[in-house]
Amino acid sequence: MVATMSAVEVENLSMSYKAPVRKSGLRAAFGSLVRREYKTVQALDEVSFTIAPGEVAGFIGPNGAGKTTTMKILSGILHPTSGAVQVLDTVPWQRRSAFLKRIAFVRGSQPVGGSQELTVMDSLEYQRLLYDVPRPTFRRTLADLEALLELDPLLERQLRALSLGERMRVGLAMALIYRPEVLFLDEPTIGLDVTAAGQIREFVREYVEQTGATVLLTSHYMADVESLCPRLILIDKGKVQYDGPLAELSARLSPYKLIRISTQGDPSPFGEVVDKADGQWVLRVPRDEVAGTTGRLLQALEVVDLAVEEPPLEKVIDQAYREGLR
Amino acid sequence: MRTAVLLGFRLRQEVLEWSGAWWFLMTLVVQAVVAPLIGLFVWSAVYPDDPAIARYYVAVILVTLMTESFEQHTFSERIYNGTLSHELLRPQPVAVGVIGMNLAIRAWLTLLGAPIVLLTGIALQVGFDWWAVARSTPYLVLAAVLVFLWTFLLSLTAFWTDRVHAVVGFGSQLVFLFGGTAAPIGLLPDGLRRVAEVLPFYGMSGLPAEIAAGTRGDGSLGYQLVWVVVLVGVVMVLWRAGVRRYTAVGS
Amino acid sequence: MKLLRLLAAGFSMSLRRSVAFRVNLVFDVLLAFTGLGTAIAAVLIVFTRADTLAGWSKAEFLVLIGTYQLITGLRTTFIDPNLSWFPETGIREGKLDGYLLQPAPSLFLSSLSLSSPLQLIQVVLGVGVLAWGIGVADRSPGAAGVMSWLVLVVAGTVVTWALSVLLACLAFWAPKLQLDVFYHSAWQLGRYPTDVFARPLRILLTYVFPMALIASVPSTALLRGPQFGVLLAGVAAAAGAAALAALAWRAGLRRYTGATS
Repeated sequence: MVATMSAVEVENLSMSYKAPVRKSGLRAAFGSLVRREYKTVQALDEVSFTIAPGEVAGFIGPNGAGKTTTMKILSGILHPTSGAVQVLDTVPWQRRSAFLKRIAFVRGSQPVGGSQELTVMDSLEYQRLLYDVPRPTFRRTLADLEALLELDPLLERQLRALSLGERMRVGLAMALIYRPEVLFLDEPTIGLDVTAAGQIREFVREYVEQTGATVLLTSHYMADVESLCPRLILIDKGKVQYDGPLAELSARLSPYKLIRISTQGDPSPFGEVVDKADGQWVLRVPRDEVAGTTGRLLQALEVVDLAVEEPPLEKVIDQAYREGLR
Repeated sequence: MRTAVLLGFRLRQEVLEWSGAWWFLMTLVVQAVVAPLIGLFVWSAVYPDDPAIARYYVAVILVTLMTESFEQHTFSERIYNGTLSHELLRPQPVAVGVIGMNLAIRAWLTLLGAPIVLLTGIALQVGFDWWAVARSTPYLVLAAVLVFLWTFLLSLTAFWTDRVHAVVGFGSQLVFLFGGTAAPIGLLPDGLRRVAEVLPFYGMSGLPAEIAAGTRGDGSLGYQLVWVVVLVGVVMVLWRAGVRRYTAVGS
Repeated sequence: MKLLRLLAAGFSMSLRRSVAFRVNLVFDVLLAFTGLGTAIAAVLIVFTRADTLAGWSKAEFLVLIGTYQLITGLRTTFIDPNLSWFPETGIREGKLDGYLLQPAPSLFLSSLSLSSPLQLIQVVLGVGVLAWGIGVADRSPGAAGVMSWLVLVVAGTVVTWALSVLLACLAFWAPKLQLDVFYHSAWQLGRYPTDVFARPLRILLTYVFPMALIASVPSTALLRGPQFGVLLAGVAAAAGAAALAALAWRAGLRRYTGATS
């Protein structure tokens, strides 16, 4: 095998597709058979990034930003409209068997496919056949996974009878039983309670430590990202808005501070109003202007109370989702 | 009165809702038409010179379209996925929702299927006596009630088994065989015919079709009514037992 | 080879599972019995009024029903669990995405990897009816007849698979079209010899939607002796349909992976 510089390499990746525009009503239903109107949706727009082998990167962005589309392209389910992608030095959408055996794509919304009648153990056996895992390797990996994921009580259960948290654990076991080198995790903790989500995070961390796998992970929970991913890629409206260390993302967004002020007057000319209720206002002001703005506020209005605060990270991300980064 | 208003409202809502799936309704029309259509071909081959056969089967197709019931899909699924709980909480009989959807689907099937039946009729040069057709109306209404009650009755088994489709499938086999679709009742062997005339299935399709086709001048509405009463009784008993079980087990 | 192993593994796992649910087993066996019983009864009623129907004797009808049941059983065992309601389960619920990620041909995974073994009971019953029909026939079929029946049944099964795949492929172009109910209704027409139907329907069932190949053609070959031309046409139809299905699948997949999210 050739040693590589990067596990995932994405260059100017663009994806657009036509979606039919459907109007409601019976007449429209008949009409749409004859001629359909389409609109073009630009899901990804010139996305570029690389991920080094063994790196764990968080992939964040609001709903519809293009995260899942990117993951589908990287794992080979979709062809992009343009751009170049190499995952493990292979073009993913050729879907060569050798390639597919080295990657895994696990979705929190549908962690386990296949026949829901089968037991967990049967499904794992099926994976062994499908992925040509030699028996000794299979037994060894299974033992590891059993310990890590607490699979033991689940093995003889039917897939359909598993709870959401159990399904996710089993979904991961089914993906990792063939020891993939690159792991795409799409919202692995969605819908899980705090304990179950923590277990999944812990497990991903240990798997990465043991195997040196490369991971790209999407999540809406900052806890996932903060605990697992030293690096963040923020994507919005199909474009990469930020790519760098987690710490720097906060720094880059915290040029802003919040001024909480109680007054009968209208302080809105002095900064961006984030919140107001009962004469209580919260203004967002660039960090280097905080002192000046505070002075001018005290001069211009009759201020009952005034406090300067750091914005919380969740809010910061939310702000970035809504407005994009500058 | 209030129930009637609720039902009317529900019916309008369901009719609109199903309008988006008109092509799917088309496939349901085909499904309803196939069995009597086969009967038509088979018995026309046996009695090539008897125009009554074609007339009878065209009537059977129409009756089938107007009385189709799918409670094993619309109602039983609500038991399986637990959404029946929402229905139980609403201040109206659960049957209002079930019947509303039933009537909406029947209305659509009739509307979409009528052209097919007309085409078949024209192709086969079937001539109906319109007075006979008019006379069949009360029988048709009772047939529609019977088919609904029968399907709903079997769908209620979903409270106890997860094989409701098998149960309802078995029920439709009985209707097919004894109701006059596999063969007009009069052509059944004697013993079988006598059994069929007593069972409720003949009242579900064969009887109104025969009256509309003019092969039978009068029938017994009483026979249909007795079965309506019996089936309503059984449905109510099963419904109570089923809801008790459903709320006891929880879902 | 690997595909066969996967098929066998999936089948035996499902079998072990489904045998564990005795009640469902009883239900399925009973329904298979009554379903076939109803079909036979409908035909027997006809034969209380006539000696032949569209040139077919009672024994020939039984052979036809047996053959039809056999192929229907194979379909419900091996094909339906995979491809039925494909627009819903395959595409909207993302089953296909999962298959695309697995290191085996997606057409195999999508159309044959799951099975419901209990439905094999239909095949057993079909063979029973077939034997009954042969038993009451005036003359027993010759070796050539049996051979060509076998070939045509295999061809019919291949065509069945191909039709199911083609139907599923429609979902790539018209994801809202759900033709399962239509397919199953049309399938019912195969239970009767095509000679029964009016000419336009007969032509449709022979050349466009080849239900004739499922039962009429093999049964004719078994009882009335093989015809080389028919045999050849059957095999050609199977090969053609399978090739068409594979092509349509590839084209559909190209569209799916390129154009939908």
